[in-house]
Amino acid sequence: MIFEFLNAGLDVFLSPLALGLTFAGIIVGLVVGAMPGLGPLMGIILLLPIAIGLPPVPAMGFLIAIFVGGSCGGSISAILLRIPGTPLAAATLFDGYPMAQKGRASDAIGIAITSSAIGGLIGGVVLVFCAPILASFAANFAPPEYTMLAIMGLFAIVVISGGSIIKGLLAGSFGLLLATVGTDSFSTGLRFTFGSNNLLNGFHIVAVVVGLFAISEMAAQMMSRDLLKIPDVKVARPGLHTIVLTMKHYVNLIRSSAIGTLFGAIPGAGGVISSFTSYAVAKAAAKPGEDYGEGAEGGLVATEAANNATVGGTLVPTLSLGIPGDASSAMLLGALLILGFIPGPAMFENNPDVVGGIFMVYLAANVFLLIAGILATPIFVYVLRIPKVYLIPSILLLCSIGTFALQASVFDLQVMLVFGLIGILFRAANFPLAPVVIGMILGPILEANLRRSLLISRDGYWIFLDRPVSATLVGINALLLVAMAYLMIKRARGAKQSGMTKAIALHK
Amino acid sequence: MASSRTLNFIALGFLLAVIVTVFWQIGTDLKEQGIASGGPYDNAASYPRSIAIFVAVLLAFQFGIEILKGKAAPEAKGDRLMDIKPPDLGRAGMMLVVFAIYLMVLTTIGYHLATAPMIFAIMWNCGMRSASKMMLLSLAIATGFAFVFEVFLNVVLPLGIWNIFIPW
Repeated sequence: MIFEFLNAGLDVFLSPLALGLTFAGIIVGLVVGAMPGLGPLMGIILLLPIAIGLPPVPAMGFLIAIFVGGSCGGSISAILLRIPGTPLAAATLFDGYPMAQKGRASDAIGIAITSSAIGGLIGGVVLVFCAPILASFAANFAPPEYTMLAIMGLFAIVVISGGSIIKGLLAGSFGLLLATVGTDSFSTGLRFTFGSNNLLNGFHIVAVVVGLFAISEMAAQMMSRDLLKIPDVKVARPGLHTIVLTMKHYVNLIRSSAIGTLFGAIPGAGGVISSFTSYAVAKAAAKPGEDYGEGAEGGLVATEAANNATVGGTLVPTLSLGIPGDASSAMLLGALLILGFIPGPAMFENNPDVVGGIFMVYLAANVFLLIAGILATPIFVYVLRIPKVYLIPSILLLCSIGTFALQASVFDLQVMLVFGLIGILFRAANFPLAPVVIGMILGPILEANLRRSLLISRDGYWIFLDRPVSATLVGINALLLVAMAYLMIKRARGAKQSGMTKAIALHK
Repeated sequence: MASSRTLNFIALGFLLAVIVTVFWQIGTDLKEQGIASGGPYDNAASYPRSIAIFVAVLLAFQFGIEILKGKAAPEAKGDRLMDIKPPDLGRAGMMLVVFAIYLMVLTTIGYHLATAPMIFAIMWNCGMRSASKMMLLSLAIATGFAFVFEVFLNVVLPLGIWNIFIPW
């Protein structure tokens, strides 16, 4: 069964367009990952308007490669500048920067890239084997199970992503409400359109996401005081010997990749948690003489292998169940929906070529990462020298042309700007933005399946408890609710204690 | 600069306005269309109403927390937003104003006339003062993006009322 998918995907994958765009995606990913403040999610958002005009496999190859390259690119600035390009590379600082300080910047970058590529490939093997199995298990799912899965996806992201639980739930619910705007697919009535024809199909997800993330991020960048500064970065050229250096840590590599894949498959856990966990495990298992925190190669291997393996893991529930693991995979899911494919068992059944093509582009992206990373690192290092004064107007321009290109609509540009302002407000008030996107993507799935469940039910909401799998998912959702309540109380107590400590310190 | 607490209240107020709009629309527009009641097939209001009720409960909780927090500690001295100085905020605000004006005039005067001035203005706002360098870079960035989108991606950029385009 697994090889059938790979075989079906091989034909669509082996086209110059798919291969070329996967390679281009890696380059773009490494660049956006290396630039502090951008990262894989921003890269996917900015280039989504371009991708959705392409055939499905090349489009997904481009976006997935940005995800893969972006997850690794943050390590370059972490090692050279002590600024993680993305939160994913935060743990890479611990040993990457000390290695660079000792004159081993090239080795550190080479090890980071090799570990990322191998971690990603291990995550890819898990994806190729587990996604079809999970999809075939989910083939028996009916609307009640999908309803509960959609709720689970939203809850899990709110619980694990940190910050205020209530704010996370409010942001997710705001996303769910946004998804209701437009023509109701059941009654064909118009909801919240205010008589505007532009809203008949609701808000375009890309216009909303570009506004929420990219415009608000550019406004945040404008507030920094180093807009004209050219960072002083020395060119590093990692060689092929870094592959050998990385392979010496093969136990750490496999273990960290396994941790990364596992965390990736849990909605909401993501790369940051997995890289810190792998680092902690590697440090605990370190041999005497391996000085973690002072430039140990093992520390780099652990964090980078884990955060790239997470990408493979996160694609498992995204493709087989249609439940995104994080905001980046939610955007990939959104791209698939725009391209006309509904992720889940039906896609495995009806479009094995697309599924197989996605598997192939993911595996190829990690191979390309190794090649491009080792050969072209000096280019990415040069990109770090571009001051923000050139980047900010370029990104704003990309946002506006990309959003306009969606459907040549001025209304989409207005939507983008309005959601940019909402994004600024949410960021300033510490509301997480990822649940808004996930709510907006899961919203139609949740509503359609909830209403279908009630249509087929003879005893109303009891249908969710009548079916064993659905009842299990109801139980998991109940546990997640309990976890939310527990975390709320725990965080409130923690805040109270830290407030008291501050007050005592001020008094002294 | 407004404190985190004030911004929290503004964000909560915004969400409150959203759910008030949802209830108002359900009570008026959706009711008139006959889709505010009935079974799961016809009732298009039931799902947004349930979410709006859920949001209302959460908002009540969060407003309560904010009010209690305010009574316990009037204003935290270490508020991260206090570090933002008015000039920093002014730059971000000006960027948004420039960008909003750009989006407003884009379809009227067209991409080729609107884009370079927008880039120029943002560079100026960032603190760059070399006019010739800024002019050259603005034109280069605007033309470069137009080339990629028009030639490789077949996107027709806004031509404006004067139908300005570059025949690549």
